[in-house]
Amino acid sequence: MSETPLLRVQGLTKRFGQRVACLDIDFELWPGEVLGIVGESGSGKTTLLRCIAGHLDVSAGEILFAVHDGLVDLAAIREGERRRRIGHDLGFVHQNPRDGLRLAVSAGANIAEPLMNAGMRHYGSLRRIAADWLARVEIDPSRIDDNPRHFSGGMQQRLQIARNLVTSPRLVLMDEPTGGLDVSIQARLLDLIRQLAADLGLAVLLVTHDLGVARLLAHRLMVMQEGRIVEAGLTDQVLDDPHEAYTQLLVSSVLRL
Amino acid sequence: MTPPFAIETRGLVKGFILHAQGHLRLPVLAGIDLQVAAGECLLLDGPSGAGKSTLMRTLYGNYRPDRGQILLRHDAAMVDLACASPRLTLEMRRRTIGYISQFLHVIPRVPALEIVAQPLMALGTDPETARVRAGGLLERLALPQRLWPLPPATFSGGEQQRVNIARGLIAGHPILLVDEPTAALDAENGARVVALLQEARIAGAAIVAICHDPLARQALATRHFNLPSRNIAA
Repeated sequence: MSETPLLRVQGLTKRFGQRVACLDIDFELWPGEVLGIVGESGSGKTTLLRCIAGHLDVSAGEILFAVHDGLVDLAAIREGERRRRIGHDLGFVHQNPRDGLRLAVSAGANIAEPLMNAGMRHYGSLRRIAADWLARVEIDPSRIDDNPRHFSGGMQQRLQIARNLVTSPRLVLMDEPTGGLDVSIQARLLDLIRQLAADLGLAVLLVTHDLGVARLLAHRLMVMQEGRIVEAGLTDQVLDDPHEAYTQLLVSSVLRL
Repeated sequence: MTPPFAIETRGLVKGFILHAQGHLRLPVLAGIDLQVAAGECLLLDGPSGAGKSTLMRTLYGNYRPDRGQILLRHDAAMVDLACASPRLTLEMRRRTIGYISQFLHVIPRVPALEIVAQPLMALGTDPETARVRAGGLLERLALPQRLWPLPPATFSGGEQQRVNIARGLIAGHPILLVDEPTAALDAENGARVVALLQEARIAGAAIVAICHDPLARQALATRHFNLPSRNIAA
C-alpha cells in the first residue's frame, strides 16, 4: 500500500452569495483508488469537483495535491503556477464530451494536442500515439483524421477519455461520464473506465447520481446531501448497509442494484 | 508467536435502523463471541432470520457492526476489522478474507476465466499463470471449457455459482466465508464443491459456512455455532 494520499481535501467550503454549495468537506484520495461521490442534483457534488479542478474558487479550505516536487494547495495556487506545477497530472472528463473536446480539429489532433502542449513535437510519434489511444478506447484508428463532431455520443466520450489519459495523469476527475448515454453504450464505457483505471493505477474522483455506476467503478463512496458529506465508506458497505436516512432513501429508490 | 485463532469475535452487536419505517430498530446480532482456528470449518446453525447471513457479511466487513470486535489474523497479527480503515479492509479482503456469496456479482463483458483469475492477479501472480490456475479450478468444477471465454451473465444459476466458487477459492485466502455454496448445484457438482472446500480446510483455511444441504453439512462441519432465534439485545 502506498503510504501517502494523492489528494487531501480539508474544510473545503464553497458559497455562492448566501447559498452554501459545499460545507466543510474533508476526504483523502489514494493512488489507484476510485472514489465515488453520489447524491441528487443540487447536492454539491459537481461544485466540489469543479473546485478541485480549479474551475471555481473555493470560499475556504485546502486542496492538497501531491505532485512530483511536493504538495500543492490547489485552492491557493495561481493559474500560471498551476499550469507549471500540475502540468498534466490532473485530468477532467466532462459529462458532455463536447465540453472536453475540440470539435474543430480531427480525432487524432484531439489526442495529440495535450502531448504537444507538453512539448512533444515529432509528427510521426504523435500520430502513432494517437492511433494507439484510439484503439485503446475502442475507436477504429482509421477514423484518426475524422472530425469528432460526426462521432456518436459514446465515441465522443471515449475520445475525451483518451485525450485526458494520453498524458498519463495521476488523478482524473469525472463528472457523470456516462450521463448522456444509452444504457448499452454505458456498459461498454464503464468497463473501459474500470479497466483503464486498474491498468494505469489511476486515482479517479467520480461524480455520479447512478448507484449502479458507483457500485461497478468505485472502491469507496461519499454520499452528499445539501453540500455536506452525510455518509462515507467502502462502496459495498454504503450500498448494502446504509446507515443514514438519506442514504437509505437513495439506495431504496433504486429498482435493483 | 502465531495467534491461536484465525477469527475471533468479541461481543459482536449488529442491528439495523430503518429510517423510512419510523426509525424502526431491528436488532440482529446480540453479542456474538466465536473463535475459529486454522483448519476448522465452523457451520452456522439457526432458523431463518436468526442472522446467519448478517453475521457472515459482518465478518467480511460488508455490514458495519454497532459494537464489538472482529479480530482476524492478517499477516500473523490480529487485526480488528470492526475499526479498520477502508483501505485496510480492502487489503484484508485482497490477501486474507475470501467471501463466497450465494450469487455471482456479474461484471458486464468480463469472461468467466478472467473473473476467476482476477483475485490471483490482484496478489501479483502474472496473468498467464493465473489463467492456467483458473482453468484448472473450472475444470475440477466441471464447467465446460466452451464457457470459459464468455461473460457469465447468460450462464445458468449452477454454472454461475461454480464460477463464483472458483473465484472465491483461487487466491487461497486463509479465511473463507462461504454462504450456501451448494444451493444452486446438483448432487454431483455439490460434491465437487465440497471436495474443494475440504482441501482448502485441510491446507489450513479457517472456514465459516452457512449450508442447508444435509450431505454437504455433514461433510464440511468440524464444529457448529448456534445462532438462537432472533436473540433480542439485552
